[in-house]
Amino acid sequence: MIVAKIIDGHAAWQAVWTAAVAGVGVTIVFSLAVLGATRSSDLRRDNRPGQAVIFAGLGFLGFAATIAAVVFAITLITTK
Amino acid sequence: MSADIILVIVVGTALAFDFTNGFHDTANVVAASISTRAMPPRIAVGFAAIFNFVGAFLSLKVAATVGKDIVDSNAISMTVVFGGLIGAIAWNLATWYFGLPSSSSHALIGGIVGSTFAAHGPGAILGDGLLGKVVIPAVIAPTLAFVVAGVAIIAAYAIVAKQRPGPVNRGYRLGQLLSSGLLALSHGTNDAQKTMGIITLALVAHGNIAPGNFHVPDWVVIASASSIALGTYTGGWRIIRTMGSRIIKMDPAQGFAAQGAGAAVILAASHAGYPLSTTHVISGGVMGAGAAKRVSAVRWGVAGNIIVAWVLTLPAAAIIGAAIYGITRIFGASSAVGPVVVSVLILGASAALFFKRARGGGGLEATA
Repeated sequence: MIVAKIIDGHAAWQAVWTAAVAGVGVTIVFSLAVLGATRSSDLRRDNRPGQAVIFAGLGFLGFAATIAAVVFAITLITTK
Repeated sequence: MSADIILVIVVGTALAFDFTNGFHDTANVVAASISTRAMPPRIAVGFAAIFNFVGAFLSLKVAATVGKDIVDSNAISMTVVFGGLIGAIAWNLATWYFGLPSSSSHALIGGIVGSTFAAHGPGAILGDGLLGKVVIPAVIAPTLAFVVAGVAIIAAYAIVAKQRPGPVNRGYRLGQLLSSGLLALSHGTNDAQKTMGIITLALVAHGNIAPGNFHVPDWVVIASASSIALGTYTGGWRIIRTMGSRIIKMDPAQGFAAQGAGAAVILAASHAGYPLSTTHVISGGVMGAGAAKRVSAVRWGVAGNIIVAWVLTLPAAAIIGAAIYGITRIFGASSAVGPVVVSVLILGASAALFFKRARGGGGLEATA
């Protein structure tokens, strides 16, 4: 009760869940980028170009999502 | 005339604190990148300095919190600000000497609270602001970074499982360029603002800014950003060693997860106006990324020393801040003699510490 009075619960909760989603989310999408790039390179070497393209696409999407998350974070800070 | 001299000394001391903040906290930003060999040390430090500088311009919410929500701004005088700054610098130098990543932010807030307490008593301390904006976030933030980094590294290992370690490590090292840049940006955003808040408080006390019209002048933003960036570039190598390899031996995926979690927590907190300790957050992230892989991978003895330094920071800086205020008062409340004498003494003490440190003394070791 006292804690609820001295801390803005809404702002604190928003900071907590935003940080959690962003921190875990960025690592997941970047890991997908790493997976995509690594698998794509292995599959190309094994002469499986079709699957290599799919994993390259996954890698690209993961990397693009990581960059988008970083840009969004900076925009959020600069626009408030 | 005396007030003008004190203002110059206070602004100079605040910028000196900002320098020690950058110097002390370089480790937060670059330790993971250096220990995983994502970047050579000098490049990592230069990279961090540039992003620190840019980050300082992104937001002023934390500066407003430091300037308005911790102590009653009407009770602030320049000698109070001076006492607080010296308290923070002294604690920063002591923890740097022992290689401990303590919080520059809490040192600053503790110093100001102690100095204000000595000058005006407990009535001038805004207890709700101190508890709600500093103490409670100080507990939540590192815990959150610990959990976020832990969950993130478990997810990362699950995704890249069974892949060849060479390309995976190269991939995460590349990612660390991004996470390290974001972390440096968030550090500049959160930490440089504390100095901006303090200098603005001094300007309010001097009468340059009306108490009801709290705003941070542009020159304060530019000077603070430059000072923290310069301090960061100079680099506190002793703490970099503790953060980079003495808590856990990091692999690039752990470095990326710890830095990503740290940046996310700091940016989210800065957005809400909480003056977080970036040190606590990054240490929490590093420990979380290590413990999630294997609990025994974290050297809990070193982690314990760090946590003791965290707990001691606010009261220790407050006591030093109060003592410094008391010393300056001996020479008169509005006299410039006190701050001049204390400045000379602290410069001498700093030089002695650096000299002793250069000769290799004073490291603090902990058992694993």
